[in-house]
Amino acid sequence: MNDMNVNEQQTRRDFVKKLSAASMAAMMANEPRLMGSEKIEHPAPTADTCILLWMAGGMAAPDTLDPKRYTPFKVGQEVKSILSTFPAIDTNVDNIKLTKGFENVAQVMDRATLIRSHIQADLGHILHSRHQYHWHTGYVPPLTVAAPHIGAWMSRVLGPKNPVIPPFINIGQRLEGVGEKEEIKAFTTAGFFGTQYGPFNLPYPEDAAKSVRPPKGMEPGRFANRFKHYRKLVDQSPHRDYLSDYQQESMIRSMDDAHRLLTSKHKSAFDISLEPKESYDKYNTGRFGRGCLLARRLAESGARFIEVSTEYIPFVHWDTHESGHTTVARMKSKIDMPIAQLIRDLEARGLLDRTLVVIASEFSRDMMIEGVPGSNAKDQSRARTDRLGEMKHYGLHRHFTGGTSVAMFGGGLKKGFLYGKTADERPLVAVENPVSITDLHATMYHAMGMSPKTLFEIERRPFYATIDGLGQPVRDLFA
Amino acid sequence: MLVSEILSRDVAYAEHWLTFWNDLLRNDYSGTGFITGGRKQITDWLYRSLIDNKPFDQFVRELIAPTPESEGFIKGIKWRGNVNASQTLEIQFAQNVAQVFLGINLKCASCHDSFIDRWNLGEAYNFAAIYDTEKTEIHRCDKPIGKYAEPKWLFPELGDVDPKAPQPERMKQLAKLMTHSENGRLTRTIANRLWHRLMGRGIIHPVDAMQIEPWNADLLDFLAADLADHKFDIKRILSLIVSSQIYQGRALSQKEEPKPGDYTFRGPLTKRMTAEQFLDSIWQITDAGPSVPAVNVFRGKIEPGKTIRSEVNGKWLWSYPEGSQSVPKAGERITLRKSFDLKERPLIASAVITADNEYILYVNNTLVKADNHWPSVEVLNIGTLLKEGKNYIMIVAKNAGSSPNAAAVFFEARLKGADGKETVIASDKTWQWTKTIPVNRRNRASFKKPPADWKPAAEVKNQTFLPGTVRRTIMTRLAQIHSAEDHFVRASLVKLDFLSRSLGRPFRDQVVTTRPEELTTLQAIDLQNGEILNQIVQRAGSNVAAKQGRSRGTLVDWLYDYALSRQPTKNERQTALAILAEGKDNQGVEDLLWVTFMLPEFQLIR
Repeated sequence: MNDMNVNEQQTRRDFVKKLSAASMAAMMANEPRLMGSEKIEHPAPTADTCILLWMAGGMAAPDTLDPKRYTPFKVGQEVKSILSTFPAIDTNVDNIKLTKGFENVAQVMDRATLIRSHIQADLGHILHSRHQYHWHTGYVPPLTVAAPHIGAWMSRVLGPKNPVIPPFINIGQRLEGVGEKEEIKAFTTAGFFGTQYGPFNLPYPEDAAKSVRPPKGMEPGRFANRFKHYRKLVDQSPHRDYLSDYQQESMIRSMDDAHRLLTSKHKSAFDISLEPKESYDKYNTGRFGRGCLLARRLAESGARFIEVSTEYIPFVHWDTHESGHTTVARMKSKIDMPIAQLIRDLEARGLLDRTLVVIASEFSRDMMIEGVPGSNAKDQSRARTDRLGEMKHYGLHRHFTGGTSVAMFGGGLKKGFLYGKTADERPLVAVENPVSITDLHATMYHAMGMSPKTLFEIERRPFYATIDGLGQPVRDLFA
Repeated sequence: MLVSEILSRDVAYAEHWLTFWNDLLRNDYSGTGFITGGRKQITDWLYRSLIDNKPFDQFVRELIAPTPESEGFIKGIKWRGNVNASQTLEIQFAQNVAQVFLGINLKCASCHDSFIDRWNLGEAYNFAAIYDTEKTEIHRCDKPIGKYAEPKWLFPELGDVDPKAPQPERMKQLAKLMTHSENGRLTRTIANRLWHRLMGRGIIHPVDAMQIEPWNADLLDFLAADLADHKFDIKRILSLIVSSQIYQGRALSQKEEPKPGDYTFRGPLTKRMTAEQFLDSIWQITDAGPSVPAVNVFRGKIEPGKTIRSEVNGKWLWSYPEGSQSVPKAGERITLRKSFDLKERPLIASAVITADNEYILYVNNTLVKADNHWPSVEVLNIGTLLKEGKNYIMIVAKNAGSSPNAAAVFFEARLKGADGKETVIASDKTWQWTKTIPVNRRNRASFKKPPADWKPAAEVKNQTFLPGTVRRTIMTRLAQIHSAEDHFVRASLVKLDFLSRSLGRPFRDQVVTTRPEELTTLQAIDLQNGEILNQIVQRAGSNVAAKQGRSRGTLVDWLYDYALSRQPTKNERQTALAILAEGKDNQGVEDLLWVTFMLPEFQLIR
């Protein structure tokens, strides 16, 4: 903090005159830039908001969105004969069946596009956080530069929908106090875009209101006053007018923007306790359910990208290394109602057409196969047996990357539409219209009005929204 | 002179520059890879190197042809499973070594011939092959091309490695080539990085593209040559830059990066404080920082003489002496404990502990550390867990092996009080043992039923199990804790948390050479209502109120002087006094501190 020569420099007012707010926002000495050499043509968006409902830990498709031949539990049953541990149920679309436990979701399938042929990369040894990294960024770690999360891409390229609401919101996943947390953090970032485009993390939906409230123990009056004093001392500082300081201006602007959110009426969107009881109860199945409610409120207020996670914790929730059937039954009871309600609520508010909701997971599961057929991945089941002996053995305990399902709603996609398919007998690999992570991302970006070829220069190299710019949107899915 | 006085404060120097080197060498205390043992810290080595101002050529040699303490850098980060051919450990090695020491970007060339500079795929693979212990097949864009890499250095005009030599030998040859007196690229790269750190922009910019024309080649050559001519003394080059009139001139603001070739140097640029500088500053002003560093490094210079003079008080203990019964069974577990009274909480308390084969240490029933690598011998800070009155040290020890074998525990702690008096708590016959093992729940030890059979522990006198290296390590560690001083904990020694992350401290998965200069809106939200900063400000409020509580006017003057290095203007003083007058308890003080920390004048370095 060297002392400066007071008289000779441009005054701040001159400086501000010469600068438009827009140019200030975009420029930064070391920031990655959009590359100019190639003309990027963004498609016309069919959605303005994207909500990703993340089934963390590997949701077994045959037990959820892609029913296969059902084998009930019976002691002595040969394990290799089992494909699904839940019977199929009808939905309100003739050719789409789901599994028992999804009775509510079944009633909104007429608004859905269901992909049954999503495939993941074979990365050898299965590590959830690594597959999740791949799914969330489109890139497989380790990498030479930190890859941005898809939410950060949308935040960076499309910008906020409502300037007060952070464009990228991440609900339900704790980043401290859970296993593999460092690995989870590694993709829950804006990577080389910098924190401006990073996630606003809300691990507990019921505490979301706190994150936009004055700090603990501070009355709103004092909070507002403190900021007023801050602005006054900034203006009274002899340094205020003497320096043509772009950084100073930008710093004050960010403080102003933040304060605007923290005092705006929009922040009530974060407070799920303001929801009418009747509506609240429909979502109140647990943290994920309340997360869906929070997502709906934030989508209404103008968030750009929202992820709601069932939360990844090793060996918990969808990460069923044993007792798969029992666990999946419980998971369904937590997610079935809120997901259906989210779709209905968005529709009732006229938002579904412009909101893309995606239900996805890092991979599927299988009773027998780890990875893909022929993979050298290590078997990680904790309930290995040839024949069922107890309930613990009953469930899909191996990580399967050869074919899984993704459900998408709204956002300009077809309604009541089924795409792709997996084999009827093991191996349950995708046998029709396989959709890779790269192409699925391209589809989501396309719906949001962002070219999958969008690229930024970082360290003088191109970095694409989909790897090498090769992602192809699945055109058949669009209405 | 002020500059040399500041540079001579070894601990402060090491802990400030640790941030720069941690970023550059991708070293951190938590992060990806550690969970599966796919990554290794070099913290201790780095800290020692900085505190000793190790000549830069030696520093580089030790990183490239490493000891176990410094091998973490070239080892890279290993994720379980298959990785892209351009991210194998060998290629990571090539990319990191070329980037950090030579400012060469081999990231392009590890997939295909580079489009942006002269490096091609073969050169990148050949460079990687120096590190590889097996034959590497060259992959273009992740597909094998049927050709094999041959160990080869990037600048053959300086000589080359012997492709037939075994890997450790090749690494030594590479280390030599890298620090070859005629490898001006090494010295220019580091000189440029240090200039960038101090002046806000490199003489060559960006700093990782050293093939770009410098805006002043003579200046860069001068700095590089001076470094080589003076035993690669990093402190000397820092002193040279900082003492220059340019550095001391007024700082400028740069809105955007000028077009290549368009840059004219007019002076140093305004820099934003790093996360670490920001936290250090507010902790320093308010005493509200953490009391223990996350890293167990010895925070001082190790004087070689001290090792020998150190006296060992601890004895090796087990439940029964050898000879009295058979040797301990494989897998046998016992609990040892020692109780003692303290008149006051010590200022510093460091412990040295190890056990053949495993131990879990609890202080007043809180878990301190569990370790099963006994030759490493830990130094632990237990100061925060001790209290006035009765204290307990408890160690659960476990023997390993497949048949009965020797087992023993060593512990010695030195406690320093405010009066400078030292107390030693060491494993000896006053300790007790029981067969009952406490349960560890959420890092707290508890017994289902308190054991009633505590018996005196026995000294293991026959120490044939104890290798000389472990004996020496214990002595070194004891010497370290003996000379420990109570240093203010710097942010560079603390694990990455949400606040420092939102202030721009990176994940160190990749080499980081430049941090963002701007405060973003999300960061600004954290600064206004984030829990971590709020707690710091609350602690700071009561600390400052207690210290400076004499009069409000004095407090304002003190704060402006300490935080902004100037006196407040009349208007500022009035506003500050108005803030202090508001609210109850220390709220006014808290608010004034917060407001001051948020001022651009505080956060920007000019």
